[in-house]
Amino acid sequence: MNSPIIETIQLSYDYSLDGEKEIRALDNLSLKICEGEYLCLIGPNGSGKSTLARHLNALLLPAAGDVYVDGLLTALEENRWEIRRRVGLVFQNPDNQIVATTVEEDVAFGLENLGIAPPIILQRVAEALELVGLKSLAQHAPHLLSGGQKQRLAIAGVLAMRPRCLVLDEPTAMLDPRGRREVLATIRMLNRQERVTVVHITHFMEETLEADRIIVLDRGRIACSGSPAEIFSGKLDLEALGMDMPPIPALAMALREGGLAVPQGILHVDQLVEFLC
Amino acid sequence: MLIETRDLSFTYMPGTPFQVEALQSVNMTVARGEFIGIIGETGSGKSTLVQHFNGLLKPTGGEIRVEGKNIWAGEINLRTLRSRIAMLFQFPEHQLFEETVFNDVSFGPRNLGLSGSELTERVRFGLESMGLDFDTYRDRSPFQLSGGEKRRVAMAGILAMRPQVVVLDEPTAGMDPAGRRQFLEQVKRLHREEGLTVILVTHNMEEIALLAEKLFVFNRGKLVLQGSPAEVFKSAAVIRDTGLEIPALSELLQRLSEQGKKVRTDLFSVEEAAAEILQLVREDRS
Amino acid sequence: MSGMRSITLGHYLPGNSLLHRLDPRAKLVGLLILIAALFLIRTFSGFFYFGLFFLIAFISSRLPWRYFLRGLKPVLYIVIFTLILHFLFTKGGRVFWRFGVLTIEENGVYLGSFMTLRLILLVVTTLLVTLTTSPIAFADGIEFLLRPLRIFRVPGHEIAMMMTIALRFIPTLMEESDKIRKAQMARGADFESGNIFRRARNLVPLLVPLFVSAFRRADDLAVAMESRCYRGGENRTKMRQRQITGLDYLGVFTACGIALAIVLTGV
Repeated sequence: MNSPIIETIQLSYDYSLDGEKEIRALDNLSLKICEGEYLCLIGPNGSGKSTLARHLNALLLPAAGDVYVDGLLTALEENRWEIRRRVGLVFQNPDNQIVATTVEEDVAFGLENLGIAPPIILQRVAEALELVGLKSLAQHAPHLLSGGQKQRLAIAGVLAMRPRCLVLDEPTAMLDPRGRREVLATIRMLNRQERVTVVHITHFMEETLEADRIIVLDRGRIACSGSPAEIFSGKLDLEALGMDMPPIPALAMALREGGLAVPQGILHVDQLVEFLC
Repeated sequence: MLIETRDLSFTYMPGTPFQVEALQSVNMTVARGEFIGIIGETGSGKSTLVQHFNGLLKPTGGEIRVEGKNIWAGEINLRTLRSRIAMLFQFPEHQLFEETVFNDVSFGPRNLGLSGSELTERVRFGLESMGLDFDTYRDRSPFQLSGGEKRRVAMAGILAMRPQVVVLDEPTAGMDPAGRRQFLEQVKRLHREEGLTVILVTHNMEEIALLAEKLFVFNRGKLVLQGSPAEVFKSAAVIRDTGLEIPALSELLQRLSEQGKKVRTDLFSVEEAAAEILQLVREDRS
Repeated sequence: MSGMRSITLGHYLPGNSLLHRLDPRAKLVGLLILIAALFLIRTFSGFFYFGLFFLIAFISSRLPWRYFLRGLKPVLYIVIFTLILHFLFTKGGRVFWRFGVLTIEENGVYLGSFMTLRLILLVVTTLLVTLTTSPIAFADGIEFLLRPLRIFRVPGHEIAMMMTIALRFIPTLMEESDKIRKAQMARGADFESGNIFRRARNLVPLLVPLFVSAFRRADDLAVAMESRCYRGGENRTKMRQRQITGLDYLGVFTACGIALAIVLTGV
């Protein structure tokens, strides 16, 4: 793998519920995210995934420890806007991150904030909409789009700023199967073709199978990390971490327990069909 | 039949340029004690359909009958109907509004005119059905709970009306795997032990294949498929055509069967599928 | 899917008429001039000429008149209320009608009709502008108009941004309120019967969740905007630079001319 694009060093963060006791959301968390990597973050609700995501573009600042983005320290105020340009965030609820009243104006929002010259904005907006496949809807009102289209719009809004890293916080949680397929295909295409580093947070185990690496968070710490084949090999007690096995790896494991010599690393239907036939 | 629709149609904003035919001539029945799954894309009409079951929407064509009575013919009190066929909307935690969990859960039963110890019993039943301890939660503010707790409190508020049928619209959306598992466990238990009729609207094919006895598949306002999960997912092409997916295990078994292997394709749990494949391998060897 | 999703505030109707093509800034300046004229007019003939001008502008806009009239409905009550108020309570001149203590007198009829006409013309002119201006163009126009007030610390950019966001979220919140209403009805809530106090109290289960939700959305949106480098209006650019053309000058000039003519002849 390449050099790290994001690095957290002993990052800790506390937040308080109703101003009383402090809860440790991130606990001494050290992590390197490599350039061009497709990283999936999983873990139960409250394990610190979203808190971590918000540290990656200086929306939150560490209580202890440091976060570097492309060598820039997030705690320094003068780095803030450059960091937010380089690391774009897409959130769970598609409705609550769309600002403007037309698709095109919304994609332009970030670029306008950066003070970019209008002709360049027009060009970048067109490019971003083309990439996510929404070009024909440029003039539409966002509330008339489907869930999948809204999330792709949110991705386009971030892409137009030419980020180096895309952080997606449960982008498919509110979508139907088609919307989910559209968004996942877009994320994968951006990672493979456009070489954008991707950090993808999800509760759907099937979505992590294409990742280069999966990190399981538990109470603000990294519980384990590895390739999908390693995480879903059956050797980890995912259930104890509040997670699940996707059906095909679970079946492969059950077959292994039943005495069939299924090789490690079987994640997809195709692979298992090939082995069995 | 508990619930029956006859040529049920519904058009939003009829006679305007914004007219949308959300349901077209739907005929379906739900029997007492069934566990029903309703699947389809966003905009396929499934949410519109279930809002007819308890009279939240009035059909623009056809009729809806509950225990043989047309609910819009004036013989049925709609508020009573809504306590019998209760409905949990998507992201139900957003409907919480009272200062305490007790008050919120008791909203439904209070609207039915209950009070005193009977009301307390209903609230206790609701909360404990969802695995929430009555004394621990009764005085807490619903707004201070975690996301998963809020959702279970919302469900408790539905159960406290002691309905015969619950309609659940995407009840596990946004939950983590453990939360989903727990929530569905409770629903399954209520179905089994209390004889609750469950109508589950969902996008999660793996889940519904394991839970439901009968599935209804909607596409663009029309009922396109119905039957047991095994029957429905056999029509893989139709399912994909509606924008949905078939469960990964079904896909695997179907692919094996296409390759000439003699396997059952109507299995949805990992255990059953594993047993079937191990059996197949053993037969192949001998 | 909710049936309300297609309704948006202002009811802007896209088109390609002269009025549609005018720059929003020119339209708003023109509108302000015409409104000023309306308040200066002192005779019915002035209103007549103004009405004639409005009619020409309306026809040139090619808006469907049914659609236009529907937009007037909400203000109908205010108009009727004004009329009744003046008829009953402005005294003086001949007495036309008497019932107990109630009288309708000449001055009341005169002033009532006068005020009503002024109000109607005010509303239809404004409506004509809002129906032919997209919300985003409208917000841009407002931002421009407020710019000179910056020396008094009027935050023009922020006001325009708030308008845009409000416009963006009205359909979302309408859908949400529909959903919450139904969710509470499913729990036996009754929004339809009882006296006014009871009804108001019955709205609590609807309003509390709606406010909570609006705040949650506002919070989410603020984070999303910040994440996309939003930091107020300073150094901000606009994708679409609006170009003032000869047509726009002509538009403002026409509005000025007509206002002047009507006022001078009608004072």
